[in-house]
Amino acid sequence: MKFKILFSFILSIALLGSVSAQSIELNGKNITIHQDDVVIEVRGLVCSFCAIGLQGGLSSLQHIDKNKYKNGVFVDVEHQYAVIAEIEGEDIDIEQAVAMITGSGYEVTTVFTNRTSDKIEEWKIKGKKDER
Amino acid sequence: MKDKFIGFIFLSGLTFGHQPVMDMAPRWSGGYGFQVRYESFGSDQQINNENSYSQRTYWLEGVYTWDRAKRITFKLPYHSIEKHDADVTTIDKSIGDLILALPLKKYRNFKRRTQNFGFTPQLRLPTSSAKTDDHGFLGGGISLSYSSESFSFYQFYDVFGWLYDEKDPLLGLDINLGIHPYHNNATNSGLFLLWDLTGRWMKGTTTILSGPVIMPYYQNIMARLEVKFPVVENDEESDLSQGITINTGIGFVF
Repeated sequence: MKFKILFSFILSIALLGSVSAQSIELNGKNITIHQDDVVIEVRGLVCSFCAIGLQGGLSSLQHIDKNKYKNGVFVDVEHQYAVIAEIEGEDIDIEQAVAMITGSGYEVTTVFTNRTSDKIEEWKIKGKKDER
Repeated sequence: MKDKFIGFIFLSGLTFGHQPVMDMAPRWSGGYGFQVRYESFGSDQQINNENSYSQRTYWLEGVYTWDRAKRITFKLPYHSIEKHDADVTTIDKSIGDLILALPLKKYRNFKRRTQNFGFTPQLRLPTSSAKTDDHGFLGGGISLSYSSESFSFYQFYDVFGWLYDEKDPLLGLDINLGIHPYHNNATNSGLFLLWDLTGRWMKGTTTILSGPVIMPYYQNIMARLEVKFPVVENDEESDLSQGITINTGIGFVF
């Protein structure tokens, strides 16, 4: 990659109740995270045409369940997040997804996963943002 | 005749100077887009005589983003100008000057907003050696812009200047302020409502137009309908009152 993106993942586990654990509050919206969904908070994602670019890029990642959402990706520009549907039993490369988003000019602040269906994992993304 | 020529040249300058081809998108590396626009202005009766003048311009515009901070754009107009002078009607249909630009952008993201500063060198290349009201001029321009977009609001400011080989310099200002009242995430469709202010200054001439803009979009397709009304028209040498300018277009990004 031409530019350096230095980020590290700090995994903090949110072990909440089995029902409430499936939802998070993000930018003023209550979001239910289904099993095998990856929710990514994207700072700067506010324009509709940006959503198209991000949707196309994320859809090209491996292990995406393209039968869900639009080619496996849902983008909410009002609340600045994207949802990626994983194929059951197969995980997407989160680092690759983050790099793809950051490389498109946005910042990823948090990633949420629900791979076991009973807990939400929250990944805080820290690193140098690319603001060219 | 010379006076009329000067006036028409300035008015035609209104059509070509507007930046950018697309602002926020395509922001991703390898993204590209194109749009076609139709712009018309004229008058059935000029200010100081009974003559009529009508100009329709069709634009083909494109953008390629090889890095979100660096883009290249082009604009190519096709003019259809109809003049009725006494009993003589002349129709001039021709390809206008090619405009190439290299928008350089600096982005910054905030929690619920994104912004960019732009610096854009531009080049106007004549497509024919003959000089007419609208084409045949070699020129160079610089644009400085700023835009900020949240989910609900959009603002864009652009100041630019042009120098030509055989024409007076042009200074321009474009301001777009708007709201984003509707968006559907599932279909990526919605609507922008903007207000546009366009100012152009040339030697001895000031023109400021303003009016509403409606921009519906669906997926990767965006349309634009713009109606501009004259706010200031200060041109002693022109025989043509600008009147209403109508601008429609449709764009695609990939």
